[in-house]
Amino acid sequence: MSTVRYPLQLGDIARADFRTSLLADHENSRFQREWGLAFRYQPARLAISVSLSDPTTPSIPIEAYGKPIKGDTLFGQDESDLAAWIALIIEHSCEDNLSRREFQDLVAQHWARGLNMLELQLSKVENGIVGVVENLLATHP
Amino acid sequence: MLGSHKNRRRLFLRFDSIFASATIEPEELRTQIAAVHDGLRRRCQFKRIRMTNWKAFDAADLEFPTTASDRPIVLIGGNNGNGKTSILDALIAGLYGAGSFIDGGRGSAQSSEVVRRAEYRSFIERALHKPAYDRGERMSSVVVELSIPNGEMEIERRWYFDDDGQLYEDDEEVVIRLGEDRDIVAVPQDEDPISFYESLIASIVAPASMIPFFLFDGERVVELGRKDVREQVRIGIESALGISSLKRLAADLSDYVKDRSRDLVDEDVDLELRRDVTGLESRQAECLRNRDGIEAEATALKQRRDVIVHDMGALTSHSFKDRHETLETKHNASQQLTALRNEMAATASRLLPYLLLGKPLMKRTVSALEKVASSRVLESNPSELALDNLLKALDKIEPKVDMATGSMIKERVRSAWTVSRHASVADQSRHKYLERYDVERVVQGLGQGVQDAKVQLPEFLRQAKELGQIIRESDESLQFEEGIEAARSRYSAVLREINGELEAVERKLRENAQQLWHVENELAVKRTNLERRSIQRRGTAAGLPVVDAATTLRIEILNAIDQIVPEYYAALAEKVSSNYRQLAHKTVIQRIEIKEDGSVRIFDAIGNDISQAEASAGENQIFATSLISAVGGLVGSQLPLVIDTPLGRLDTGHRERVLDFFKNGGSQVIILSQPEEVGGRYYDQIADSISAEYTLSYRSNDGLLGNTVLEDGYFKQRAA
Repeated sequence: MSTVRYPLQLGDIARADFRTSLLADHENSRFQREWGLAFRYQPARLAISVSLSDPTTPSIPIEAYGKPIKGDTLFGQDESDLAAWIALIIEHSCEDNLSRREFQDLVAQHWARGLNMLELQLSKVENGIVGVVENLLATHP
Repeated sequence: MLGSHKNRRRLFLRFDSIFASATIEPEELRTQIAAVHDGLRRRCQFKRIRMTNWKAFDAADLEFPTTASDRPIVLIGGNNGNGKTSILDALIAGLYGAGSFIDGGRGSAQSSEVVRRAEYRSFIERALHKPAYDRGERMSSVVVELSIPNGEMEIERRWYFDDDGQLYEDDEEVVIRLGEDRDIVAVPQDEDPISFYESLIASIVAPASMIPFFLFDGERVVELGRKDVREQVRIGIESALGISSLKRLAADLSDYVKDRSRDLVDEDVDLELRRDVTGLESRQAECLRNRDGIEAEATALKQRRDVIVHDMGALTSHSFKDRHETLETKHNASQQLTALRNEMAATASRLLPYLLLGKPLMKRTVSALEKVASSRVLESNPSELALDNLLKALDKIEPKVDMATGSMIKERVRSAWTVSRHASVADQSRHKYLERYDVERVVQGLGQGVQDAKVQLPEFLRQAKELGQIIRESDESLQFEEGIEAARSRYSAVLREINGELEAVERKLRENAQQLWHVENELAVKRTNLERRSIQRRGTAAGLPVVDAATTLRIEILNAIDQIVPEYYAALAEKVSSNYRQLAHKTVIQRIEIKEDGSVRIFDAIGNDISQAEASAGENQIFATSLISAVGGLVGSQLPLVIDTPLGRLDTGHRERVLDFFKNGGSQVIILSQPEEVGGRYYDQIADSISAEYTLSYRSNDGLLGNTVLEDGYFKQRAA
């Protein structure tokens, strides 16, 4: 196992693979299907952002990982979008000098926790993405 | 004529009407019978005969002059097979049709009427001119024109055949025309045309039973002289006298009297009739009851049907176009909604996170990034120089402070500077990855993201709701229509059921009506019968007026026959004897006796009965000719004679006598003769008495069946 710490670089993040736990990944696929979303990154972004609304640091035990999503896919092709996501996640962590690896772990945690939170909040929501957006807008004005 | 009725029931009903209304006076009756009898004694001559597709002829038209009484002979010559018999047959069939076989002695004597009718049909079928049949013609006809005491008569018979050359009973057409203008004789209502015409011809010309006495084949006439034809002789004589008709009428009256008396005598008949009427009346009542019941059932069903038809009409009827438009709208809305969802999913995954992550984090991040941006501004100035400039500027601010205060302020500013510098360095190290990046753009992006999320996402929701509403409304509309459709099909099913029931009920109604019709008809007959019987019963003390009248008439007729017949038989015998003496060169026969049964006895000069003695064929023919002439004379002096091969069996002496007899007999005589039969001196003997002469010659048609043509004049040898 490499112990080398790579400082965060936008380009590295864009190219890096992001995964969450295998379980959460299944959930992600289920939401994608139920809400009629075209891409895997779409429920993932919602999950990560919901998790960021909880100021505590997520700590979900992860034993196995699911399928990867490239950084520029998960956070956006536009560099400013990518930068904004990294800034938000790092600011939430209150950590300075996060390595790329630590950042990936952090994303995995948020992703997994966010899916749990969405599951709790949206389990009874119908009408696919429309119901989801309506519900989330109501609770996060 | 009444006696010729085949339908006994109809005949008896006519008797009923005659005898119920008329009173019969025996004296008057005798006069009437005598008048009928006199009416039968008439004179007539053949005037013309036209044949189409008849036996040897394609078409032939023969005229027989009728006016000259000193030229009574028409001579038609023809070799064997050239159509002489065709003309005789045409005259017979044209005049009498089937009657010639039934009563005229042409059919098998011992056979039934049915067999003789069949023989007649077969004869007519064979008589169809073969070449005409081969070229597709299916009709033959014979028109016989006669001159009769009061004018002229034309009898036209046509026979129609099927493709197999077969003739059916109804395929014979008869038309009789009378007078100069040939007015068609109308058949009275309820009369069978064939019977009617038969009677008419019998009354104007002679009955069919007279055929052997005026339309005959010289070869066959020999048979008349034999004793085994006494029945034929008797019938001929009686026909000539009209006695056959009278006898038949008497027989019919006898049957009628028996029938009606039995009815009246039998009390049980009335009882049974009444029982029948009562039974029929109760069946009629039952039918009427049933009809009322069924009609009520039908009315109820019709009412139900009308209600359903009305309700069905009340259902809003959405056209196919409306439905199509609704489906189209729904389809469009659904498609738009699907597109909107996809767009919304993309937008939501991009913008919604800005709202989801919460304001505190957003604020903190923006603040941190702004600090990173501002620290870069500070870094861009030399820091100590900036501080010095700041401290110097403090000294210039009015009002001035004392030195100690001034030094303290400067010290505090210096400390604050130092602190602020440290913080910014810390921020910079957390977001070091943004070192070479435009942080302000990121800050701007975050703000814009929040802003866009707040505007775009609610708009998406609004649109989605709108489309959802359209889809829901379309669904409701379609559902409503489906509801109507379902209701309509429910109604249709019920309607079908009702119509089925209605049909069954109407069928029952028809059956009932038919039954009722039968019952009422039967009832009408029985009631009429009963009424007639009760009228008859009331009409006379004896209760048998019609029977009395019919009996009286019958007795008078039989009396009249008894009176007439012996007189005429005696006269006939006298006439036959005289004729015979005139014709025969042997004068052995002195006296001839004819009995009522038609039997003939011949006596010689000394009174011996020589009837059983063998006579030659020629002698037989002479006797027959005498008989024929005598019988013809009974009918009237001028019933025409048509004779085929008249002299064939006669010797020279007899020929001369017979020809003289024809010449001076006063009747029209049409002789169908072979060239050697009436030729040479025989021809010369009658030449001045001939009114018309023809020759039949056969023309072959290229080896096929040809036809006979008529030429004026009698054989070439005469001309030579």
